[in-house]
Amino acid sequence: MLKNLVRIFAFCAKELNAIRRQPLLLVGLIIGPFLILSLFGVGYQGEQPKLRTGIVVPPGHRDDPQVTELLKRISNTFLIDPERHIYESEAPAIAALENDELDLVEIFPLEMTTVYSTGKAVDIRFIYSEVDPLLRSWIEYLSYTQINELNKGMLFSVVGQSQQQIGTLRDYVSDARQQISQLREQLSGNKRAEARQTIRSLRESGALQLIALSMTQNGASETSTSTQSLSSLQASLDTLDRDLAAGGSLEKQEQQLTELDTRLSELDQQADRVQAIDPAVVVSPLRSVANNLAPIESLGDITKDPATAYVRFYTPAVLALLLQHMMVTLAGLSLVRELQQGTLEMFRVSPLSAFQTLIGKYASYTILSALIITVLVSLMVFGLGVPFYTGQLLNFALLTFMLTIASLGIGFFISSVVSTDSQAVQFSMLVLLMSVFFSGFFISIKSFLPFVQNIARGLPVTHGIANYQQIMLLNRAPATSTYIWLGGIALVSFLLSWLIFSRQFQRK
Amino acid sequence: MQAHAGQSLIQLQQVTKRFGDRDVVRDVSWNIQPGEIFGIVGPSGCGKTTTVRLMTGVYIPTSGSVSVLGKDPATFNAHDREQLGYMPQLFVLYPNLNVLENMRFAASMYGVSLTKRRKRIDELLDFVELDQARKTLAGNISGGMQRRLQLAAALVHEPELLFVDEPTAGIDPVLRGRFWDQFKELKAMGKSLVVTTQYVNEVAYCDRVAVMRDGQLLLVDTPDGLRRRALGSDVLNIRVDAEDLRNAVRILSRHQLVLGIERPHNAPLGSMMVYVDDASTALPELIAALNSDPTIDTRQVGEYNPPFDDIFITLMERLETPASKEHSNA
Repeated sequence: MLKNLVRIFAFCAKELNAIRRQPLLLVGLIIGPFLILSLFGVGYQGEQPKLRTGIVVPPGHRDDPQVTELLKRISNTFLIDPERHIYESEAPAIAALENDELDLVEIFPLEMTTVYSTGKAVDIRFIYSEVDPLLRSWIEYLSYTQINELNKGMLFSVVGQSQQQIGTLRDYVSDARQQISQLREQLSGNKRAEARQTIRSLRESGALQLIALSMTQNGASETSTSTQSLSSLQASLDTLDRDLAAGGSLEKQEQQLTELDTRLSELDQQADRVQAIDPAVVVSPLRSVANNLAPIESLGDITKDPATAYVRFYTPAVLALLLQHMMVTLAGLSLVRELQQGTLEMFRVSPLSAFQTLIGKYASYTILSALIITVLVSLMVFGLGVPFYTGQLLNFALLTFMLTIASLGIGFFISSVVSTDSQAVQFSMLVLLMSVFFSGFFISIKSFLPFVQNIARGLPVTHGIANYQQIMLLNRAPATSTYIWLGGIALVSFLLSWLIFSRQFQRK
Repeated sequence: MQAHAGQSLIQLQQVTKRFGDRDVVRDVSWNIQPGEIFGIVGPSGCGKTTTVRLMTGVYIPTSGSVSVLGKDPATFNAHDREQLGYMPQLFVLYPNLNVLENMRFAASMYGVSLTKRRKRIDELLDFVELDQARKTLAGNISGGMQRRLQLAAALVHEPELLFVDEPTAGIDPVLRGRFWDQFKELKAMGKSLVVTTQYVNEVAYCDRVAVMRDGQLLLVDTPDGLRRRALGSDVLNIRVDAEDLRNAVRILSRHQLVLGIERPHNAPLGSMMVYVDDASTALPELIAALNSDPTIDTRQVGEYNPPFDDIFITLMERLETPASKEHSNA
């Protein structure tokens, strides 16, 4: 038993001494990721780059105040040089785009100034030349939001003007109601001649026609009934005037005047309500209010210091990816080097078994992993301010251990099937490439079809990234399924490596 | 585990090893006794290394049987393997570890406890004269030192039986001599050694030698036995005054112990080669016969020991003849 342990730990000292003798490798493993994350923190601007944009305006409108206002509005999201990149024709702007002086050309047509009078929507064209699908989506999204903002701005202006017109309408309503009141008093006093004079004055002032016209212009559907009533009132005034001239009964006409006054009063109230509404509410009556339930305080304020937030967010993923790559590469080279160096022949004569050799190597690299992760996490916590909850230390250690042995399993499997160390490096790089795309490092694994998601779960780093983030950023323990997945990967890869390596180890 | 008293340490019986459709080793049989240095000599590619691998259990024979320390090497357990030491043909330790670390690794590989290994490693590094280089990386020491380190690593667990595959290939004659001195010391300690070599003259250091060619065993004999087989008998080198040569030849040719006399062309004047059955018996009698004629001035008398290179070439030439082949196959 003791001899078996001595044999297993033969590899611990040997592997650790061999790695200790490679200072560049150690620097690469520890200082490298720390420097990369530091550079990321220093250099990342926390937002998408502003697009260098050229604006094409209708000829002769370069100094138009409307254009100036437009440029002011869009310059928040687009980088516009007003001296060089305002054009009055498309050709030079497209040439600048093709020469990579610009990322985007935006063309405003002349019809834009007459959109309401013509009643037709106007196309604002965005021209770009981009292969990167992410940048293409970004440009299209910016174009969409810019047009949305411009539309809202125009609507805001129109609503403001309409509310001013409603003020005028209310003046007319007030004037008409005064005259109707006067007419009703004259009728109740049987002052027929004065009443007829008031009716004439009401007609001549044209207040009722103006009210109807204003409401038609504003297109307020709510007041369409009132507009119809005003038309019938016109007819009623004519009837009343005729009845006054003929000396007939005035009861019915008085009743109509009361109805008219009531309707004008309603109209005034409605106009008051419309006038009181904030134009911004009319343009955007709905707003989104999103609440993130995740406790992301540990990331810091992303709006004030986006670089820090991004560094903190990516640190767990970098740790997981680095750990997997390091273990896969070291293990991947390990067995094949024994084969290439000829040491396997010495092992075959000795009492060593394939199992002891593998377990010895697992032990040595696990110790190495623990040392490197300890140093690396300390540097990131104390150097970069990355959060670490001490209450999660045990979970962190267990996850690191599981991630290490699962990654080593994949590395040993690679090493047992390849025949040269360059093949081992190539396969390790393939695992790295696959990890970058499918592990959730940059692209969420939810973006893939379910069967691809399951393939991604076959990579230890997929579980490493998600659960290091849980532990380090959210102070949450990993789910049991994480350990089941990692344990499964570790077990299957170990058994396969052991089986294949045993065949190589076997006496022939 | 020890071979039983009177039992061979290693027994090969009609062992053949085939790779694909080629017999790399064919029908080899021999017995190796405890405490001897057994040499295997033959040109490169003659099957020496494969035979060593068959004896260490790295290879399993295609046919025939191998018994080492009384057991089939294919069935060796860890304890059995601890009795073997193996120095492969090439340096297979770790160049990025220093001499001491390589020794520690080898000791751990054989399960030598921490308490025992320090003294043992010190002794061995002293034995192979690498004590001063213990902190030097194995990749930075000379080829000869690497061989010595490999030998020390093979001995760190104090094996009973040591297999050494071409330890002297490609190293200078002085170092070769030191290697053989060390092997003789190991033999004196009671160890048994199987040593392969391409250098024919090194068979002189062995107790017995197997000569191989094209995967076949040509013969097994002691170094003296090989010489006798090559020359056909013992040979005495006798030189007299050039003027006395005729008389000397006349006397010796009549002597009953003399089988024949030859005068090599390039030999010094007065020299002759005298063939006898047994040099130790014949030598005093022939001296007496020459001294019986006072006119003969005898200048030099001694046993002729030609270099093993010559012996090997002669043996090969003899074995090439059809009659010899028939004899060998029989």
